[in-house]
Amino acid sequence: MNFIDAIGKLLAESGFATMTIPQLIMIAFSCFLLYLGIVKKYEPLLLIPIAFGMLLTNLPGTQMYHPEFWSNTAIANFKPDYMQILQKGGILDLFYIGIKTGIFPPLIFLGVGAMNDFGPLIANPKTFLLGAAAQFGIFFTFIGAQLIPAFTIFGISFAGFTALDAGAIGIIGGADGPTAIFTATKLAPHLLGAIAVAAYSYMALVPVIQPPIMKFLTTKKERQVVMKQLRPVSKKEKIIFPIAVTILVVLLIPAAAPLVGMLMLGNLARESGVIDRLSKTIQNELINIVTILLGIGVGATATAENFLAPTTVIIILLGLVAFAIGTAFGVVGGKLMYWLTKGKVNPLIGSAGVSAVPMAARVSQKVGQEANPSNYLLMHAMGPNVAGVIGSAVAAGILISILG
Amino acid sequence: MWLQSIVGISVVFFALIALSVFIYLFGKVMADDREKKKVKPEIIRASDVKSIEMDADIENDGELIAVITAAIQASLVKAGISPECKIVVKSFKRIGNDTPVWNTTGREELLN
Repeated sequence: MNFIDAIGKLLAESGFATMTIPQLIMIAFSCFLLYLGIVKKYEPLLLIPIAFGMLLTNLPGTQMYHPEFWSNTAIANFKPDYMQILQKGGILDLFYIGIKTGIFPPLIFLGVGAMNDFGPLIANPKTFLLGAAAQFGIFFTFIGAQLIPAFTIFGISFAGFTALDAGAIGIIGGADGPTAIFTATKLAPHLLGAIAVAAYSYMALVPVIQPPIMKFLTTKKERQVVMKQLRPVSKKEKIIFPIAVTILVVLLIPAAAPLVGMLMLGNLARESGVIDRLSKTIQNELINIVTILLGIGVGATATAENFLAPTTVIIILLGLVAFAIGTAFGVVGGKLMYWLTKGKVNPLIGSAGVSAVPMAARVSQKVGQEANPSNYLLMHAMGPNVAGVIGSAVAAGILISILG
Repeated sequence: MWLQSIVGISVVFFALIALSVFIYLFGKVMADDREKKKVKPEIIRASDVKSIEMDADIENDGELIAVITAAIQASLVKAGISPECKIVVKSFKRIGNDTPVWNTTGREELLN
């Protein structure tokens, strides 16, 4: 082989020669997501790993991720062959094992449990209802997605969503990233990339999407309500809470066990006070490591052929609908409480019923303070907020057990 | 599909209501426990203290101006800036608060 041939062969094998247009679009899109993460600070902790995974998986010839190992629509009931993946898979395939097997999302929940104080929820258990009301978005979108008919526009055809797809899309309305990823890998793994991007984008956009809905549904008088200070919660209550919730919820919906169980274990580690070392690891090192692997792995599934489809656009729109309905029902639930308690509950805390901890609570605080500068709703809103985490994990368990 | 959704949302509500009732009852039991153990200390709650009416004409409130003037004077004297400074507060207005809300809440909780 002479020198010219060698150069020619290298060039022919390089990414520049083998790149396809869809890959180029995906690379541009991942750079856009990186921009949103770095400059606009949209959920950077997750968006940056996701966008970078997306970038790596779409660069041609890297062999880092093999979509054909994970799904094959030609074969009914296709199951990934883990031996083959371990032997021939790239590094992103290996990261993705943790998502596909459902290890990473519960580990993230372990961290979420360890980082959150359930005290406000224990002090005011009524707010559990607001966490439930905000889950309406999930089920509305579940129906809505199935009602979209198959269509063909400009030669692009859309085959409609199955019930499984619809369940995975609806869960975006829970505004909970790990839950959405967990549910999507169980019900519709081929949509994972789009669902994860939609879920995390909307979580980042909570301060933009929620306030108009909250203001539209409430009057200024309602927004000005100052709530009574929460009662102090004893240590004993805080310790018994995670144990009791685990037993009750898992007995009722066993499919919710991985998420709820880990969430509560994390919280018990925090509140028990005797395993500080574990609690610190869960809150810091463990959740950080898992976040990196989860983000890159999720990004890897967004290959051009998977992501550049009409379904992605529809999923992103449906996600917004799910999220808006969830917020609206949360606020309506809050209004109901306002009336029932004769004005003791500020309806704004209802919007925090979508999980997105703690952004949604901060939004309630901010909108409340706009109406009444001396009002502090933050801790009151943390109640529905953490109830929303439990609520969306329960909803995910239900969808998995009904559909899966 | 409709049925699945109705069943789904009902179970979500059922689960969370069940939890809510449990936590409520548990809180009651714990509260009884606490009351039995301790002699009730006299608690002055923030809600018992009459809150200051925030009327629109707050900027012309002579009493408030006097209080603010005195506070500034006292702090200037204390800081040793000027032992006999003479200041007049002509007007004041609320400025935006840029302390992170978590800090403010933490402070509130310590104060109450």
